[in-house]
Amino acid sequence: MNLLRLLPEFIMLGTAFLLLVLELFLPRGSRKGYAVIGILGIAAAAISLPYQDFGPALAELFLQDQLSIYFKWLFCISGVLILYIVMLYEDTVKNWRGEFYSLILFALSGMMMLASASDFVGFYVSLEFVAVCLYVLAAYLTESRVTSEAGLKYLVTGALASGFLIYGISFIYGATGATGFAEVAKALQTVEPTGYLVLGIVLTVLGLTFKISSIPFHVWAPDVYQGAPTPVTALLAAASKSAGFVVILRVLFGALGTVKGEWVAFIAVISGITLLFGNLAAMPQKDLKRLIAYAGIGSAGYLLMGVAAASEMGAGAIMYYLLTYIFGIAGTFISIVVFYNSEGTDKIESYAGLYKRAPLLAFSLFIGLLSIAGFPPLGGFIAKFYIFMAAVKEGLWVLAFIGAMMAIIAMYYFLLVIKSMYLRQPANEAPIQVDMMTRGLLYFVNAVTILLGIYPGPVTDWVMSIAQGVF
Amino acid sequence: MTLNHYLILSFILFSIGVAGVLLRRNIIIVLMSLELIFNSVNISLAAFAYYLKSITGTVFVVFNITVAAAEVAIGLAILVAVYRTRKTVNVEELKDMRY
Amino acid sequence: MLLSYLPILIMIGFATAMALGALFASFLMRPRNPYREKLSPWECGMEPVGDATGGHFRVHFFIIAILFVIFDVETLFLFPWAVLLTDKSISLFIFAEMIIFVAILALGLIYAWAKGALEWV
Repeated sequence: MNLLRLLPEFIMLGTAFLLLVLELFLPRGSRKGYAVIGILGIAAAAISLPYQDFGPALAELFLQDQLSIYFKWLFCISGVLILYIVMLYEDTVKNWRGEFYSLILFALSGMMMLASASDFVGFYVSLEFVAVCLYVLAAYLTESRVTSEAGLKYLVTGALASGFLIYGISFIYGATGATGFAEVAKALQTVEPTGYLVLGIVLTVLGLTFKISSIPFHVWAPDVYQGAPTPVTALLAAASKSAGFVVILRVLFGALGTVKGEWVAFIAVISGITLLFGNLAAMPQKDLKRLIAYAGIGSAGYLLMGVAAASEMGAGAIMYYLLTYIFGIAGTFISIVVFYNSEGTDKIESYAGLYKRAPLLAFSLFIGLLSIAGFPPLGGFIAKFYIFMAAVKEGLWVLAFIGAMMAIIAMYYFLLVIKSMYLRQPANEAPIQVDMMTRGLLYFVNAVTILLGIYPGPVTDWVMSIAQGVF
Repeated sequence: MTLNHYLILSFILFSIGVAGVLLRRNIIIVLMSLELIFNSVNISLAAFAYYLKSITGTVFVVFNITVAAAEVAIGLAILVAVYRTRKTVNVEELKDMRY
Repeated sequence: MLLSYLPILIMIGFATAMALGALFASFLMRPRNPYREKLSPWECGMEPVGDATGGHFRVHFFIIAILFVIFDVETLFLFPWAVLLTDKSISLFIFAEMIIFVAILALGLIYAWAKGALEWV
């Protein structure tokens, strides 16, 4: 029992409760100060991260190790960027209420717990904690037709996936008699794989595909990305996807690593179909957020390719991919929100000629989208390169080939957007104002994306050393 | 009564729940089917816990009930929001976003 | 042996007395003013229009129901906790834990209350 190992989570939860209590006493009005308090809370949690000692916490429901620390860093980074996006977004909404900031902090602390979960009970409860917060966030603007529709679709798909997940967990529990990841792994060394176990693995994997928006529980992604408030879309794209993959690393590599023969082929098939579906369906999209949703389904396919490789290198590649993905998404969504504040639309055609009106926004979208697509020399390219290396090393040639084809298609549909931003004439010449702070942040995010592409060495070394311990 | 009896019962309830979620058009019935799914899993967990003589499954059931309650509570709240904006609880009328 | 159920019997008697007492007290105190319009199902005198089953529900019942579900589930955690509370070695710790848990739920209720979710509009 060492509760101090959950200190970052407690700091985040405390900040969230503080904001809730503040909301009780403050009169209606602007809530931008909340974002500052939230960012300070996240910073405090981040400062405590390097001082964490490793080991189990709370009756071995949670485990602090290098992997969890790495993902907690990811959640802290995306949390700060997303709170800033919320601050920008707040102006466009009438009757804004401050719970939004608390809910984001609750969701982030749940993701942090998820990163260090080491028992199916702790894992499931943290997962649902995150999910419940995200359902509310996705449906937050209750007066809006599309937002409430998005929230309902998200909830129904999510709850169905949770049902599959917990049903699968119950079979894994039945086959091994344990719920701790380490105990399950130990039991599987002696127990022969039974029907219960295979059924359990299949159902668990199906349930987990919801969080990462891959086939077959991808159906929510386009509608929710398009309909949810833009900061929530960014949270779903960046942080929620990372949370899904830390869970997959923990469950598949950690708990079920000894029986990887049972799930590798299954994951490879899911990965292939997800790659094909996400990228092909992205081509005809007219709404930028919806396009990013389909591209995000494609990205889930690439990341699953790293899971299918089932090696330390695959795990490291996933971790690096998620880091570059968070910065790509951040640059893209800050630009989307600034553009939406000025124009009130997310349609791709309205982005025509953006370069003439706001060169910095066009440049950020250029860098962000191309990094997501995996264009050299940006960060996303290095990440995809590692994923391909891991897949080829394990002999997944077909999958790597599909991935390479789909990377070209991804560049095609993102370059269409970029072409219309840079080469077409704007319908309205008025320049879009970007304030100083947003400018600085955009420069920073773009610099990181480029730096992760041209000088990845230190981060990849770090990531690969962490990945040695996942099995 | 063996373990398999309970597991078959749980599987039947789970299948009814999944079929309800996928086929029914009224969102309230969909939410009820979701509740059925979670409770079928509770049967399975409790049966395993009983036959394995381990307490963890029972603990899991308690948490699962909580999670199911939270999900359905949020589901009802979002449903009310949807109903207020559209005056319908039919799944098929929720298609504002087909590009 | 049956004597060990005596507290339950007392509890049943006490609960019944409470419920009947509350009903009787309100029977004594309420104003009584029956007339024909008040006794009819549609007090306002309008002819009922449309389908009465389609959507004429009070949204506030949902909020009460949701709040009820939360506190209903809270009891689920109280029972195993109450059984363990007799264990002296951990009782202080789990007592503090449960106080925190209930305090968080209470904060939620206060929040809902302060935001007007319990107003009977």
